Amino acid sequence: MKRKAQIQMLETMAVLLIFFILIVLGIVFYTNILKGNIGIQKEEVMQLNAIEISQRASSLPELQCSEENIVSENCIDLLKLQSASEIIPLNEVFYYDSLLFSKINITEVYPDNSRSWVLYNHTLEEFSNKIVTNIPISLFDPVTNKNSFGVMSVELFSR
Amino acid sequence: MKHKKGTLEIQFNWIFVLIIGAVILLLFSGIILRQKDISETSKNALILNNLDAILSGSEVSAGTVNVFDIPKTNIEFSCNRYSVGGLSKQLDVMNVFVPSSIEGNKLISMVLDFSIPYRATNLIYLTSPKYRYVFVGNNGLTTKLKDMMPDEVFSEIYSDLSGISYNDEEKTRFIFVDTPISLPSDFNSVLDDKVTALEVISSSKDIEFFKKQGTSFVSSGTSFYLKNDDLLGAIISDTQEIYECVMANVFEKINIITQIYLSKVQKLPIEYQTNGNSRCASLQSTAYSTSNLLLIKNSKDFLKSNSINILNAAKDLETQNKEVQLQSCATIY
Repeated sequence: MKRKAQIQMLETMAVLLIFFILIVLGIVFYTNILKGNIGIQKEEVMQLNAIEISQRASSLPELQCSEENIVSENCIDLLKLQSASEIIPLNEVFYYDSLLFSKINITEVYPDNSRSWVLYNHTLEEFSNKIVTNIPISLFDPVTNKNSFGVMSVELFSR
Repeated sequence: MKHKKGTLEIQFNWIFVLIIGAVILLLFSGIILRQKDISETSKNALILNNLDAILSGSEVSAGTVNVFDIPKTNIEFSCNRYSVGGLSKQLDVMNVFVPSSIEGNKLISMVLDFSIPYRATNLIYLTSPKYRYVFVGNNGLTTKLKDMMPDEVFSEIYSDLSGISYNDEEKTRFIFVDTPISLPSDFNSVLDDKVTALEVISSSKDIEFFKKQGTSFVSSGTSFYLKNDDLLGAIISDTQEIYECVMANVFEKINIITQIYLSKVQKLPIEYQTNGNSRCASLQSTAYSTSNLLLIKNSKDFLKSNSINILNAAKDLETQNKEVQLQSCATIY
């Protein structure tokens, strides 16, 4: 009778052991799926940030062309750009909240492809991800009244 | 003896089953509670990220009004920060006029550009359709301010306090424009934190923030405004802290953007000289004069004296801009 009870007890413990092993396996599996989802969400947030920063950069009043305060979309005033590329780096702390760890570079591509301006450069030395967004823009020279083609490149870095 | 041993065995089995059952129950309860916390935190994080995306999207399109659906929640706002549940985040968008808390599942955002006379920044106004704005006054400014409010916002205009009744709204904000401030009797029994007021004195451009205490209003701070755009900001923000925090950011942005315009205006006559256009180059000391821009640049802090300087310089800059336009030269802004 004693032996029978011991066997019964062993059976119960074996069932419990298998039950707990299955639970642990389930938790490990679920945690892995959760980790994968967090990775996907992190990537989505990074892409959302890249879009936000590109939107902000392309509509900075510091750069936009205007006539009687009427703004022209996707147009950058060359004189304002020259001035902003000197003044914005001096106020990097102010712009950090909206431009985060990024680099904003504007390059003329036609007719003169040798001109380039770095507007904001607050990059990470070590980063795990970088998203680059290129926005075609028009560069307007208010003195000669001429437009040229350019590209605004927004690079967003993340750890 | 045998019978006693069997009873003991059965009792031990039941105790063992009870202990293991309790352990399993505890384990699953723990997992469920943890999962509930994770899901709550995840929902709050999603709201925070979405709100940032909403504000960023709104920020770039001046003159627009948007209504957004969000999960039913309570969002607390303070100077440049906002929090949902236990999660807090810095606002990526700088100039957001907002009440200290927004409760509900809908948000209304409106964006206006702030120009002095060149565009310095876009101002975002964020509120809830459940909040009621009651304008009290009978002058042109009262009507103008009421008209500036988006149609989606619950706003009304009254010439005096008679006829104003409580309609069970989430929050009520009274705006007394050149009218003595007083609490309508129907609001006496309403909870104190549900009612706030703003007094506007248009002649001096002064404003005073009020909180409800019992059956009257008590002052919670004074400030001032430059233009109707930022006065609207004081109407939407129910605390002096949020209003002055946004305005301090606006003034900092004005300073930076003015430095850019100053540099542009200094460069213009030199560039014209290089290009052989002496007519436009000769405007250096008149239409391309930098005195007004210097005055704005030097008015960096959010002070009343600085706001007067900015408004005066802005008027003169408008004249300068018209003059260069008449001369067919590049405009300042």
